[in-house]
Amino acid sequence: MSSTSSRRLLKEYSALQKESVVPSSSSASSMHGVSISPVSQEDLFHWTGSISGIPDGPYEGGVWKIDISIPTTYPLHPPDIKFITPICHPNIHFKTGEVCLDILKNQWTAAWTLLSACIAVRALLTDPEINSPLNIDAANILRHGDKMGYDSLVRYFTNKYAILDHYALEQ
Amino acid sequence: MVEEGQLASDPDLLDDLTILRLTQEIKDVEASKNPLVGDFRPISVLLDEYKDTTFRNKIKALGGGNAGYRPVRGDGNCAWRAFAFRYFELLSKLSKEEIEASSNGLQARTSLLDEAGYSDTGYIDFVEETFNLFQKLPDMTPEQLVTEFNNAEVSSAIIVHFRLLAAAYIKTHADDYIPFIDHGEGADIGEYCNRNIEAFSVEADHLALSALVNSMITVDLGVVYMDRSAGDEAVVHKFSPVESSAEGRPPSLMIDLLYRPGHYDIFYK
Repeated sequence: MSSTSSRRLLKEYSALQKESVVPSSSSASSMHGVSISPVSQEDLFHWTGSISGIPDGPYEGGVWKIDISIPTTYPLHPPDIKFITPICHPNIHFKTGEVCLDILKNQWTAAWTLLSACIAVRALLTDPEINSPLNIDAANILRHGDKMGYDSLVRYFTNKYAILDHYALEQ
Repeated sequence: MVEEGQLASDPDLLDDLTILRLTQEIKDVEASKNPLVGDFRPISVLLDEYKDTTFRNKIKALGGGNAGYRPVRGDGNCAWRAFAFRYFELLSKLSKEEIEASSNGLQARTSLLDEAGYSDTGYIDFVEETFNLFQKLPDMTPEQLVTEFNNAEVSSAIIVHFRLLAAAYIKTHADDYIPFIDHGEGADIGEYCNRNIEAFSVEADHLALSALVNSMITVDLGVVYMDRSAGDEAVVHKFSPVESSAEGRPPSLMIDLLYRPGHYDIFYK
């Protein structure tokens, strides 16, 4: 399927370039809070990018680096999106960065794009699904209704790993 | 992450992702043994597969004349692939003008995708693949069409196109479908379509087939249910498009599928 997928990825890439005049510019400024681009122009099957936290919540101010690997059967099968920057979230594995989101698994639709998938991941941040946790501790706190405890835990990890200054230092 | 060995020894540790992956692996292994679209077989071949009297009687009842079937790979896309193959096979027997009229008719339905809110970056490649095949169809032999459908790149793209058309029909005719989707918990049409129709490798349910027929307008579908229900003849479920014929409408086609619990093949009367 690789010719179909290359063609599709190229289309997505040029659509993204049209959208932002400076495609590789700093992520946080992006309108939908998501910025993605291929790691190299030679290999469209590996992208990287960042997701910024939605304001007014424990993820506010944070920017998380993500890695997107794309199967040769894309877009029939979903891209694999992983968090590189550690994030505290019920559906994201703290160590591996693996994301548990139905549309990235069995409910993927070929009409989705890499960008729409990343926007869905960003929406997941403030809309966790506690019944399919990859971070059981975070899910348990939420399950017990301790919103304040949950927020402060998330906030702690956001401050620790994802606030831009730290982020920039690590680069 | 849990180690692989632990997973195998303690089934309680299987998480959704692992189950999904293992299921997919089983499907893939099973699927790779059969072509996406196989060769025509006389219906009597089916008799070798069944000892059950109910099944045998129903098969015999189908078996008059040149009846037969064409097996399609059971990869979750079987109903879609069977439908799409038979659609093009029937078209290939028509005149060049009729094929063109059919192509134009289907092309006009692309507006459904826009109305339903799909981005054209998302659907255009799949739609193009369908119309590429329309272009080549008048010069193709029956064998070439089978070969073309066994090219996963081609037939899977056409399947996605048809899946999106069916989902778009439901989304743009939500009032007609809500009563069948809402089981009292509040229905979400978008989520229903996502889960049952748009997602690749998810088997077609009754609503999906109804929506597909409605979205295409020119096809009547008959599904022969070869199951254990009482009776000596298989029940045939018919799906006809809701929209009535318009002037200059492309020729209508009659597609028959053979359903056995969990799987669809193409049926030839």
